[in-house]
Amino acid sequence: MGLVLVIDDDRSLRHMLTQSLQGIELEVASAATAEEGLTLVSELRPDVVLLDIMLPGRSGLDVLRDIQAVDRRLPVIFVTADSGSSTAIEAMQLGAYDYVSKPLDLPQLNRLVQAAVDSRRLMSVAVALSADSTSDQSGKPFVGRSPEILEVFKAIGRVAAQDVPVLIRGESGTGKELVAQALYQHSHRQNQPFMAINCAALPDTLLESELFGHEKGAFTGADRRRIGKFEQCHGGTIFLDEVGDMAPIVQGKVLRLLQDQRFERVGGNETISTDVRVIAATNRPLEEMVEAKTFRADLLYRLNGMTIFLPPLRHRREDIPLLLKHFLARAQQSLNKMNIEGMSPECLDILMNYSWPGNVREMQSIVQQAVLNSIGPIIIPEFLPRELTQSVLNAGESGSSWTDLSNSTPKSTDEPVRIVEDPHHPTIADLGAFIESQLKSNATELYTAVLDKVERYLFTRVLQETNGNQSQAAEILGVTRGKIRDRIAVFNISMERRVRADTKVEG
Amino acid sequence: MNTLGDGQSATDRDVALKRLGGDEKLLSTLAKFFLEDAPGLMTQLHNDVDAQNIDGVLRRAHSLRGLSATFEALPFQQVARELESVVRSMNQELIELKWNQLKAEYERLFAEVQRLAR
Repeated sequence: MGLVLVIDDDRSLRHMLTQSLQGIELEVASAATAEEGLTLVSELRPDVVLLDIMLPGRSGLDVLRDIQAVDRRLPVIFVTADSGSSTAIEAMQLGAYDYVSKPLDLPQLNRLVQAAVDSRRLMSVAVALSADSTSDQSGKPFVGRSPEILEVFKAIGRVAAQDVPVLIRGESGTGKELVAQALYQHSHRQNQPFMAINCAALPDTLLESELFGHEKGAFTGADRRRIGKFEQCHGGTIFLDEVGDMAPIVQGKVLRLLQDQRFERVGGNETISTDVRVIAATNRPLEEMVEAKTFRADLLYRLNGMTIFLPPLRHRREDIPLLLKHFLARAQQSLNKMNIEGMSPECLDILMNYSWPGNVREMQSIVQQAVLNSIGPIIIPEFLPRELTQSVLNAGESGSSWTDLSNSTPKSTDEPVRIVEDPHHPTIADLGAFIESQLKSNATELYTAVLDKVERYLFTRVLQETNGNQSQAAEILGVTRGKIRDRIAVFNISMERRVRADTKVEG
Repeated sequence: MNTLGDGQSATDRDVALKRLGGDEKLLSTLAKFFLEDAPGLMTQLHNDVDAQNIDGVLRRAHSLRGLSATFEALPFQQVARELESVVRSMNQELIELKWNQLKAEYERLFAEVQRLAR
C-alpha cells in the first residue's frame, strides 16, 4: 500500500482526493499549507505528493524545490486551475512527475497516482542480487546461484556505473525490469529519476508523445503542451521495455536522442537538449527484425552499448528449488498461511520438470495459486494448477503437441490452430464459485487471483475465435501484439495443430 | 439577472458526477463545502476589488474557480477568468462591470449547488 500526501489549501479538494485514493487502497495524508506539507514529507516519507501549484503565500514551484531537497526521487503531481498554465510546464521541466488540471477526473487521477506509486517503487525498492533466497527479504530479490545467473550479476556490476546504453534480452517473465532497476540503483544517476515506459502498451502516436512530449495543437486532442519523459527525466534513466515493439517513426527519434541527446516535441520546432541514460529490453529477435526491416540496424547498435542476456528458467533449473523456496516464503506471508511447511517431493518433481514458459513471473503466480489452494501444511500436486500438471504429463507421454508461441498464424488452412482448453480449468461460469470458496477460506490477494482468471479466460477465448491469429486477437481486445505474446507466455496458452475431420481422402 | 449564462445551466450535474466516479455522496459533500466556503471567499473578493488589491483578486478568483470547477460551473468560471484578466488593467469601470456579472453568476450557481447538496 502506498502513501499519498495531498498539499492544498482547498479543503474540498483534500476531501475529494482522500476519498478517491482511499478507494484504491492508498493511504492519504493531507496538509493545508506548504510548511505543514514539507514537515509531513520529512516525517512520513510519502510515496507520491499531490501539490497545489498556488498555495497561500508560496508558489508550488518553490515547494517542489524544497521537496526535491528532501527527496529527489519523490514523484510530485501538480494540481493546477488551468490546463495551459505555463507554471505547470515549468514544473515539469523542474522534474515534477505530472500535472493535472481542475476539474479533476477522479478515475483518471487514480490511475495516474497509482502509476506514480509504481514508479516510486521502481526507484526505491532495492534489488538484491543474491545467491541466497533468505537474504534481504525487504528488497526485491533477484534470486539465483546458477552459473548463468551469476554471469548476469557480474554483467550488471561491470556496466552499471558506466554511462552507456544497455540492452537487456530475455524471454517474457525472466526479470528484465529487475535488471534495469539494478543497473539504475548501482549507477551514479541513482539519485535522479528512473522512468519505465512499456513501448508495447501504447499506440505508436501516443508512445511518441509520451516519450518526446507535444506542442499544443500538434494533433487532434492536443489541447495543451505536454512535456515528454525524455525531457522530464533530465539527468536520470529511462527504461524502454519491449523496445522491439517500437514503431519506425519513434525508432528514428530515439536514435537521434541516443546520438546527440537532442529532440523536438511532436509538432514543435524547438530543439531540446537532455541528458538521459537509456536502458532497453526486449524478448524480440531484433537481428531478424533488422533483416526484415522492421527494426533499424543503427538503433540496434546504439542501444547495444552492452547486452545482458537473461536465461530462461528452463536453462537454469538448479535455481528452481531456491526460487520456489523464496516465492513460497513470500506467499506464506502475503496470504497469511504460515501453517504451510513446504512441498512434497512429488510436487517438487513436477515443478522441476515443467518447462516454465512464463519463467520466474509464472512461478510466482503458480506458487501463489498452490498456497491458496492448499488445505494442509504440505503442498501436494493436487494443489498445483491443473494445466501445469497436465502439461508435464503430456510432455512425458508424447511429443505430438507443440507450443511454438512466437507463431501468430496457422501454417495452412488445412491445419487450423486449436487453442487448448483444459477441461479442469475454471470457466467464466465457475468464477462465482471460485470467489465464494476464496472468501470462505479467508484468502487474501483475491483481486489479483480473480483478475488473473478472467484475463486467462478472455485471452484464451479470443485466440480461439481468431484461430490463433494474434494480430486479429490484438485488434479485438484493443491491446498490442506484444501484450498478446506476453499473455500467451504467462498463461501458458498452448496452440495445437490438428487435422480437420472433414479432410477429403484422395481416390 | 443572468449574464452570459442566459439559457445555460449554472452547473452540469451529470458531467460532475461522472468525474467523481459516480459517487453521489461525495458530490453532495463537496456541494456542502462549497456552500460553506464560497460566501466568505466572495466577501473577501469584493473587499479586494474595492481596495484594488490585484494579488488578492487573483488569489480569491483562483480559489473560487477551483471550488466551482467540481460542479462544471462553466459560466461562473468564465466570468471569474475575465475578472482576473481585467483586474490588471486598473480600469475601475470594467472591473466593476465584471464584478457585478460575477455576483449574478454566483447567485445562480449558489442556488444550483444548494440542490446538489440535498
